[in-house]
Amino acid sequence: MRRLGVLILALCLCTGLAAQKVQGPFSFADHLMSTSFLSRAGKTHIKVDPPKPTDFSFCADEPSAHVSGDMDFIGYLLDSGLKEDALTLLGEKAYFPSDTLEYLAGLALFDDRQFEGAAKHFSLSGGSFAEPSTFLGAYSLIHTGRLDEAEYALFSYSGEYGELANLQLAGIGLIRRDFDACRKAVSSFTYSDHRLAESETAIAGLCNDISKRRKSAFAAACMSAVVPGAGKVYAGKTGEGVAAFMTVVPLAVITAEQWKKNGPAHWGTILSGALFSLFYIGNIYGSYVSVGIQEQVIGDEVKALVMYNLHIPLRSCFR
Amino acid sequence: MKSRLLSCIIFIFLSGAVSVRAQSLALKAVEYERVIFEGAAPAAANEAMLSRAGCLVQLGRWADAEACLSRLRMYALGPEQREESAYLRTLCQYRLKNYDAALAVMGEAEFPSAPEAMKLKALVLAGAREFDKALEQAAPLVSDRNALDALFSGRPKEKSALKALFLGIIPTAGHVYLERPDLWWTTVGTVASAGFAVYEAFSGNWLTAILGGGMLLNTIYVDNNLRPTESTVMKYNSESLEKFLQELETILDF
Repeated sequence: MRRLGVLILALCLCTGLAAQKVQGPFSFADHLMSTSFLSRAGKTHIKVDPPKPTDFSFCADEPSAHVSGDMDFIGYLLDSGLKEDALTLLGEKAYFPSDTLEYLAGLALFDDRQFEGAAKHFSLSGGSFAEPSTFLGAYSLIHTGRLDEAEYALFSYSGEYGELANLQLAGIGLIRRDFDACRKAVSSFTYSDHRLAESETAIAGLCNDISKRRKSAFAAACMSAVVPGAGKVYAGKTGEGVAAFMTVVPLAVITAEQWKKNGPAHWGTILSGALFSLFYIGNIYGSYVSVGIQEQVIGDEVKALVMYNLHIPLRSCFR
Repeated sequence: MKSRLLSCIIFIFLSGAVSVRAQSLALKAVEYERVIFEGAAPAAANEAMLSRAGCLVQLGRWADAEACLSRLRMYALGPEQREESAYLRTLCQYRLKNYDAALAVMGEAEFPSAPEAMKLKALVLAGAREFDKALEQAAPLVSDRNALDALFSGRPKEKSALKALFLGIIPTAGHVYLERPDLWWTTVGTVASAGFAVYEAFSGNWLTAILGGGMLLNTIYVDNNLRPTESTVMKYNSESLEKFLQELETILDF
């Protein structure tokens, strides 16, 4: 009767969790603790929007118009938030190829958050649009994760917006967690240009804060081995740490009670002992992994903040 | 009067230019925007905006069409244009599933009395869960009255999240109320967990009974039975209403 009950419980647990992605028994145990009611309380973090895929192309018809004639209108469309209309006009009307056309296409795609396409069009734009194209293109490349290309474009730049280039380089350093590169770029900030000063202060502050916040996965695993859940609290997942503690410790107590009353060879002791071991090791494994996951979450939040602080000066300087 | 006539003539001229230049509906919509950009008089700008909204509606860009219609200069609209804008705004709000907003637009403006507009009115009323009024509105518009009556007799009932939560305390009652038989396993699991706890308590294993039973009940009963109640109710309410509206659209041939 009792074994049947335990079997039904195990079946119910497996049914409820069958759809979840787990990689092994310890991962399964960690998942069980991490998704409980307790561990989820108060969970929030900033998410970075994934860039949209680009499907923009120019009209294949014989060119018949100059885009410079429509420049004001396209500017009006973009300023009014009608980016889809701007893209329709640029894509469907047969314009002669020019730097202006490439720049406007890049700008429209940039506003529509199609950064892959924006980077491509900004890279083809030159002439009087070379400077805005460099910085807007670098921003687009950073957004799509092509940090090396963005860095190369910024290092090659020499012009009046040198401080803006340093600001973007500091942002790249932060996203890469290359704090030396970030500090080097931050050291060249003058904080004298009102268009950049606020963002420079924010990026410099982030560089200081994040460099002090690095955590060790090994230390988290050791902490969880000593006090179940402590590693998760150390990693910054307090709810999950408390949930792990509330799971592992009761299982240890149950095992101790079964051992004391029924002896070590009793099936109740063996089952509860096995569950305790599974969840104890799962908790250590989870703590080790969660440092990496938490770093990724913090990385996403840092990227969102960096992108925000790089975007404001771009608007002030070029729009 | 003269300026009105002049702006109409200008608009007709610009419309001609738009239709010649435009190759697609999307491009037509852009060219109508250009009419506004080029500083057309209020009446001509309204014409352009209504035409642009019409293009966007045909493209299914409901939010853009609604945004365009909200820029209309109401003081310069004629009675027919008022009706057209009310119809288009209601349609946009309906397609965006903002049924209450659609109802408000219908209430605040002169709504046209054409059959297509009456169908939309019935759909909006049904979307806002005013089923009796919707039936009254839809009845003269359909040939197959029996199908309409059958549909309205099975009108979707809005479930209450609070009631579902209270009923969810008794797992089976909650599942019956939410029409979710697939959650049967949580009932079995809850009963088995409670049985396990009672059995252990009678065997004298108090810690196992309290801690083990508590953990199992938390995992099966709280995490899988009580916690998802609100989202399940919201999903049920919106899905049942959407299904009803789809069937009503089919009957009304909208």
